[in-house]
Amino acid sequence: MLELQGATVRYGEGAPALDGLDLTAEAGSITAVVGGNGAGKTTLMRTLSGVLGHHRGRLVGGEVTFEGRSLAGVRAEAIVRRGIAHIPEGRRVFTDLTVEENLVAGAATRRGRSDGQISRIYDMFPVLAERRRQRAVLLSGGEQQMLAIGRGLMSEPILLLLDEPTLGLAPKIVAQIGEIVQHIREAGTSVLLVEQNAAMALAIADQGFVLGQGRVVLGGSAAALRATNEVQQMYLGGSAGDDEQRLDRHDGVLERWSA
Amino acid sequence: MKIVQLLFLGLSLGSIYALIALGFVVIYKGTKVINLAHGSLMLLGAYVVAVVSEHSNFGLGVAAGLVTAGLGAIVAERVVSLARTHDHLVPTILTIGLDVLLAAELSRRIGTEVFSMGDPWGDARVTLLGTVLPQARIAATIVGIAVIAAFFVVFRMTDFGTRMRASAEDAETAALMGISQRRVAMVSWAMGGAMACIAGIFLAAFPNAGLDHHSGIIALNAIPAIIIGGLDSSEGAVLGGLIVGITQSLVQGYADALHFLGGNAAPVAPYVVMLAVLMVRPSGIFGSKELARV
Repeated sequence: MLELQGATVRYGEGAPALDGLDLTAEAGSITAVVGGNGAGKTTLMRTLSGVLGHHRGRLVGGEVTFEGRSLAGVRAEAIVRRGIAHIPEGRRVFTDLTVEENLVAGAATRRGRSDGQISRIYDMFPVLAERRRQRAVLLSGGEQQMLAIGRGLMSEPILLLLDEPTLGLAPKIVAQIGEIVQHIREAGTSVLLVEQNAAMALAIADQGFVLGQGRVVLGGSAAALRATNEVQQMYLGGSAGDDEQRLDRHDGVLERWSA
Repeated sequence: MKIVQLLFLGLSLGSIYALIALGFVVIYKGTKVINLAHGSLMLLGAYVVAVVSEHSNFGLGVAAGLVTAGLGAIVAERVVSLARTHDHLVPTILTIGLDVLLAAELSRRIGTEVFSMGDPWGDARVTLLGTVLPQARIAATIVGIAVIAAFFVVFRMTDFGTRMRASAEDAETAALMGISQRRVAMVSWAMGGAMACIAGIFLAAFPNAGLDHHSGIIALNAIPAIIIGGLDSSEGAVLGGLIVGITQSLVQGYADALHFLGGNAAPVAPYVVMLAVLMVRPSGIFGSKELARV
């Protein structure tokens, strides 16, 4: 369904943020992408959703295809029409708009009334129905994340891109988000989940990729990834040490993978 | 009853300024460009109204003026969007170039003539609450309020308006929702141009002498209005326009009592109010405070 071959992205004249990235996501699956800061996760999402230009970035090499058609140079709104919805890092709900207006904004590519889809979102997130007239700025972090997901689902996407949906949320809410992502997949929407919380991401994903320095350094089924020593050490706290030791291990493992 | 008359004249003048200011703000919210060609677009629209009215009728003239000013604004938006930069100052500076080009061409066409708008109110006056007022100014108030109300209904109560507001708040996320940034930009500019045209009609109508090649400069009165109200606030634009209009009217009306300020204090007075507001509220009355993560 989604395929990147040798994708290379630069911001301005700097070093490539994606450096020959190869990645595939299968229809009907949850694909997790994990990695540390600066690994290229968010750049990957921007590449897929057509907003690289907003950050002075551009795809300078390789191919990115969705359902057999190239995404290179396609505008963000056209990508939404093709069936990809991107829920950006930090939730980015429209704070001046009410909950319901946020959902309406997410239905920009729909033809006709969006009432039916709004009802389905409220069924999925009852708390949003209770707060439909409230401005989004007044919601808690977890509620804002639910609104961001609901807003992304308004276009009824084939593929949902979720960028760090658990960032800054309490463990209870993180577990809830995990259940919601699984529910979305069961309802027929494929999910590409970018996370620093590898434990959560690999627990619910079917397949996974570990990014480092703009490349895939490890990929395979989520279960197999969870079992590797490197992922255990770096992301799952297999033998947790202090932060400095963990950082040293991160660099060491990346060196071995990149070699 | 002089105060009532001055307040009403100020209200009508303020409605006209509010239309211009709202146009500025709509364009700014939609594209983050301060359109310094707004005065020329206003002159363009009013000029077309005057010319077409002369050869047919006022209604057709208004329709032609609105379409011309709207399309002219869209062309201006397309031109400034050619600047491939993320710095919004660049397209803002480009609008100065467009303003010079458009103003020069319109000045060449208008020459030394003063055009009548061909409006149905002419120099008729009515007596209201014991004061004599020009009919054209009463019409300006009614039309101004109606257009502003229609704008807020569209902006606040329709799906399209919701998407415009979403885009104004966060253009990148709006694009991720499938909201066309190009369409938002074009509609914003077209609305701004059309509102400027309506304002231009009433600024040239009685009690003013008519449309001449300097008429576009009057749009500069909207600058203190948008700064007083807040550059990114539609409500602020309306309030700022009314404050500027009423201030000018009162200072003009009591010029004798304010003789110590010099003979022509009315055009300067809104800037004094603007400075006073900025000292208390640097972002304007309704403007968003700039937030920066450090």
